[in-house]
Amino acid sequence: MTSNWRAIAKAEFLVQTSKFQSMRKPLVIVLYLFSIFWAILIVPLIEASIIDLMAGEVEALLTIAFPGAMRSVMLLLWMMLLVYPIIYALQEIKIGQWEIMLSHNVQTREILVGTFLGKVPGYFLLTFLLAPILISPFLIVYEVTLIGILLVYLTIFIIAITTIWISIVLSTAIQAKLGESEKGEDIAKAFGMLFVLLFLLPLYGLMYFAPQLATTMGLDVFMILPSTWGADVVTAITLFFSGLNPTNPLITTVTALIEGKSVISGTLFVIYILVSVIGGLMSAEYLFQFEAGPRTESITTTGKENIVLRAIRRIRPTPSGVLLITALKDFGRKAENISRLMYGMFLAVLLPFILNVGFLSEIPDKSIIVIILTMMINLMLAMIAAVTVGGTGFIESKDHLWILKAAPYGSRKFIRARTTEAILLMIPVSLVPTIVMSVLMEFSLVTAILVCINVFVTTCGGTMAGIGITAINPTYENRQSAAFKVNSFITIAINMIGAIGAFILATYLEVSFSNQIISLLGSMWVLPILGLAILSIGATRLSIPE
Amino acid sequence: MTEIYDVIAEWLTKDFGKVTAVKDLELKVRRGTTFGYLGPNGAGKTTTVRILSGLLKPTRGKASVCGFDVYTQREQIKASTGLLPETPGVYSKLSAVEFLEFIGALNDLSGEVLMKRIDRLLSLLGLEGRQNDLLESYSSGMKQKVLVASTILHDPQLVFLDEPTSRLDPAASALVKEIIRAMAKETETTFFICTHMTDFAEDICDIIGILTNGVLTTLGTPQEIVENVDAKNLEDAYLKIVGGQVDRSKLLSWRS
Repeated sequence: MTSNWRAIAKAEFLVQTSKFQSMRKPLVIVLYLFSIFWAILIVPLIEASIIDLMAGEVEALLTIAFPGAMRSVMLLLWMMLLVYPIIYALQEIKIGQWEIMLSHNVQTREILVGTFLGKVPGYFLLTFLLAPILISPFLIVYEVTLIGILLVYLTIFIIAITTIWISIVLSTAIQAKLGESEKGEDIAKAFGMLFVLLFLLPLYGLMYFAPQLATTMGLDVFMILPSTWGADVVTAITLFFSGLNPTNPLITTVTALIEGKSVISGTLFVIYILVSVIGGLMSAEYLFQFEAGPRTESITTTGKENIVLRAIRRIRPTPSGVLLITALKDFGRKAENISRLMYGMFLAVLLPFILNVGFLSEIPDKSIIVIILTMMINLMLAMIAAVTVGGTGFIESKDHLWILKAAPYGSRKFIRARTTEAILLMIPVSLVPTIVMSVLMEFSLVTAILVCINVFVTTCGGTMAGIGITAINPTYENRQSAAFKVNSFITIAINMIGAIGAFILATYLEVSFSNQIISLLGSMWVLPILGLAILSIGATRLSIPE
Repeated sequence: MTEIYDVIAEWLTKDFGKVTAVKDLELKVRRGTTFGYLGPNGAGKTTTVRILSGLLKPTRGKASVCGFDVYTQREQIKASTGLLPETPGVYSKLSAVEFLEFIGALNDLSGEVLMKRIDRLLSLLGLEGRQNDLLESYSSGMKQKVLVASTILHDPQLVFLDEPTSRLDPAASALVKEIIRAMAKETETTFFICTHMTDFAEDICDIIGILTNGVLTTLGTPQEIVENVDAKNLEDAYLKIVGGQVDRSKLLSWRS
């Protein structure tokens, strides 16, 4: 391997730190120095004083909870480092950049190593800023020596960089495969959302059914996760370098808990690192081979309009009808939009099931359960639908905006069409989860209808707010922009405020009148009123010449 | 007979913070004229077009387009003009027909009249075989053709074209030239064309204005401009006015 990887790593590092372009070097040095002080001095001091303030039981609790807590922390870290970069990579297929690199005779392996090393400094910093917050309390109560502390952080760092390496290998492989196709970017964005589900669901199931599996099969199911191996190694190091008396009953209990497992975990951990690094390097040239040159061209030809579009054309053969049809076609043909809505619907369906087996089953008043579930579905659907319809699915580019603005009252006509489109889309989006919930929760027909109306109206309100916010501050399709993040945050916040406001109002109405019709139909206007107000501001702002 | 002017600008100025993009522009473009607006990158051509098409507010000065005021009658201006932006902002997930239908609807057109215009324009521009393919699979030249069609679809009185042929092959470029000539002659459509291409401007424009650093420094027919600076052709004249003549002794100095 030539030294091309160095140039790639440098470029990747410059990209990662591009926000601090003018003061990159001093800032990086200051941040690293701070992270060392943070990890070794600041966090331990703060947390030690907090622990001192509490009663002695806390120390005992922390000591005994350590192995389990460590597994949870590592699982969280592993998930974050593995899933997030993959989702991020799927948002932006970088085949164009690869073609430039490959035209300079760079090997796939070099791209992989360079990209990885360019990211390491950033993740290193992140690990050293976050890990101490979670680990320090345990290191304090176990009175771990300085060498022990350094070894613990080193282990965590190794877990982090191995996970990042796997993540990069996987995301590069996915990018390479998807990038070969003209539709790759579209599929990648859609897959990005589903990936979260594909990953989270088995883990959720694992956590949920772990006790049953352990009982029936006599297995510690978490031992299959690499994060567990790393966590057990950290626990073993902590015990080995602990300043506590080895005869301390708490220490003997914890030692008994992980004895045997730590040897297996340690072995598996080393194997995991070796297989990941060597496997990744070796597979680079086999799993994905890019070739500089044109990607596979695929041409999609539009077919006959579906029954819904034909019906709209018949009912409204006017320019406004044409705009609505165009808006529906444009939105529906982007796989990412559909995947996001499906994701929201799926979570909304899952929610009552999870809640029902949890705390809801203990609430005696059925009408309050209806209100809580309605609020939960509203929250989930309104947030995802608003970010999807208003955020990425609104205006593609600045040039596109110029075209809209160049037509007489173009922006207003466009917003009207987009809002109507959103309302039409919200019919299936709100009805499917609500019907499933009504069946699962055995609602009466009247309650089911009321909940359906409530969810539909609230979700429409949420999407109006989303469209309005994007119209006030257009972000186009750039998910990496600060404007997009700000818009998403404001949209989610407004939807949360609206949905919670509606929930409070519904509860008040239910307590005051003991009538579901009044509580559900009376409370559903909070978000639509908020949404309509924001939409009006957005429509006006978008129409004003710059 | 009184002359009708589709563009009248008086002391028109646009500032972006401390930067003055267009300074004290004085310009009159007669109806049916093909006006070429030349200037280097960043000279203020696109800013002028955006002000005149009602998309940007001027900082000061006066202007009217097709008889409508740029401050108070922007929507009327938009209804009377067509704008081809510098970069193609098409919907990638719509076909050419669907995109043009969308543009038609934005301009209050629908039904058979619109569909007939779309069919004829796409056929004229040689896109009839690909008209139902999604625009994401179009080359940049094909997208430019679709945008040219979208600009004239509602038969505007004044057409602003920002770099209309920069992405087109010679045959398509010649076709666009002929469309401009025919519309200017037969329907008295006024064209306001921003371009870097001096040969294109020399070939098609009746009047040319050269903009440098936001200031209109030269105005006249191509012939007048060439004669005034004692140049060989419009490109030579442009380089003499704007600067940027090549120092051949430095061409390969970067290799040492």
